[in-house]
Amino acid sequence: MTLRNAFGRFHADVGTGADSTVAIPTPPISSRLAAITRGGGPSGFIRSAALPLATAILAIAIFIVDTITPYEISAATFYVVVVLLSLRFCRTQGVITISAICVVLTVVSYVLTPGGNFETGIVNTSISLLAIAATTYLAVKSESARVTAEQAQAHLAHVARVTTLGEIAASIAHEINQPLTAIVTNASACTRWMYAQPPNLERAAASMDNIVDDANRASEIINRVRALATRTELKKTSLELNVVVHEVLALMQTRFRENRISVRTNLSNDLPMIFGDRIQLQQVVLNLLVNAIDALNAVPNDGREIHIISSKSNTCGATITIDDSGVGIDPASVNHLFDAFHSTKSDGMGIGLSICRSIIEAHSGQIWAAPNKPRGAAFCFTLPGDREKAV
Amino acid sequence: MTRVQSSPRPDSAVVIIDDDPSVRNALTNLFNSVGLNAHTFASTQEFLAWVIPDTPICMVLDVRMPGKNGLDFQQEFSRSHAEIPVVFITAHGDIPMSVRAMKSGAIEFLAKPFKDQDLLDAIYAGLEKSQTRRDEMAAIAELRARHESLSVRERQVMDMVVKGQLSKQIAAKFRLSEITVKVCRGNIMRKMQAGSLLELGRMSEKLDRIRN
Repeated sequence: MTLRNAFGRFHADVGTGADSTVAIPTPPISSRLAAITRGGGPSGFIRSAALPLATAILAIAIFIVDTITPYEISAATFYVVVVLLSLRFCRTQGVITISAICVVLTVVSYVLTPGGNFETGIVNTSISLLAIAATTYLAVKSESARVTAEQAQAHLAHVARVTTLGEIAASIAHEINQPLTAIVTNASACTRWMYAQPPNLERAAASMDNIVDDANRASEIINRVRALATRTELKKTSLELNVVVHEVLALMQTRFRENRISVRTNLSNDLPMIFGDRIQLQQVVLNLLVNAIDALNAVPNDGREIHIISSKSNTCGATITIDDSGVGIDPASVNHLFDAFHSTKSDGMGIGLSICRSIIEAHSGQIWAAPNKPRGAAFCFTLPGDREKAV
Repeated sequence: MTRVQSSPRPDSAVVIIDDDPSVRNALTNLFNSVGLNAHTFASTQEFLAWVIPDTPICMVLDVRMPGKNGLDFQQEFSRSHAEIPVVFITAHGDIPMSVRAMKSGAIEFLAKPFKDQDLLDAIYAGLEKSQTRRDEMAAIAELRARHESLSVRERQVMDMVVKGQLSKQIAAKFRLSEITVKVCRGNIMRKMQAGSLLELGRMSEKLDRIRN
């Protein structure tokens, strides 16, 4: 009964857990997501460089206008827009630096401005400087609040997942332990009946019967657990794997930034459509990326890069490869990577990759790992195309 | 397998309280195989409705059960029935749980599945403790009965005697003849079945302790 409850919660959690990670994005993230999915092109680098470039051009334009117009026209106030834009691609430190540059530019413009009422100029420049300072202060404050909120949410999602898994593990351990105890105890009793003087074969045989019953009960419990585990209802739709990858990438931006990891994507444009559960496939990509981040964090700082490749598989399906230059795979554990409760991380539960495997298998796909050259690991999964599925 | 045990009295019994029927059956089977009687209960409520026989008893108690938890039950039960020691078994015990159980006087805290010998050792120790405790209680009851058989005057005289008063002093205090006090002292020694003054002193001390 308790097992069932725990499982119910687990399923609810897997569902809502993934949902809530999708629902988490605060406005900046979802707008980023929209921008990324709309872009759809192969190179993530150009996209991430576009906004800073536009901001720089705007700052220069404001500087020119502010310098050539007389003192009475206060174009410098528009530096506020530059500061607000910088919030989109910079951390706190960067925003402060950019606003400092704006302040310098305002003062330089003031010195260089050829004509106009000098006193009005002083007042206008002071107002502009105050506006820049106030905007920077508010921007930095809201940015740090947003970062804290995101961290708290990510932490919460993780804790919820780990606690439910812990609960399930405890319930299963309890349920299996009962018949196991009975088996061990009956076996000991059986031996004692046989070695008794005179031996009591009738009771010994009865003990053996009990053992058989108990063992059957244990296997029934295992079947029940398996049935519960596979009962997850897949909400399969026709979807594009590239979009799934982009959605997950949008969610993970903060983590990549925090861990100073650059992500390179190389997504094929002629990927066949896939028939699958969007949230579960997001979960797979998310788990693989989280593993890649952990692997990169275990090595020194230089060249921390994750490379995501999508391609058409030779069986008319789609393949996603996620490789990193992290610690790589221990050859000793290569055969157990996808086993449940097998982990090479000190704080790992050994659940992530086994969940990935069960999801991919539920989609009639395959998942595997290989060493990456010159170092690191590559995780690949392949899913059959939609047409194949429909037949 | 056939380790020599201090064999318990043949009328000794083991009480098993576990909500899992197969565990109950298996434990009964194990205890029977070493010649112990077993009484099984699916819950503590079921056990409380039972008339506890007047024999040495050791209890095997599961920690996690529907209704009252085994630990809470033991804490309450051991206050009224200290002569029934408890051996805990649990499918998922942790250190705080075992500390709590041992602090409230449990004989052993075993994780399922356990080694049969570990359980049997704990049960034998429990039955021995139960026997000792029952003997103690019987001795106390006997002592009390002897003390109650004394007359009021005899009890007063006994209190003075164990405080080291001489017959002469007691006689003076109660305005009796010395010979009457000596007869009274003889009666006390006989009724209390005390072989010496020292022994009587010990008995008096024990009675004081029980009264407190």
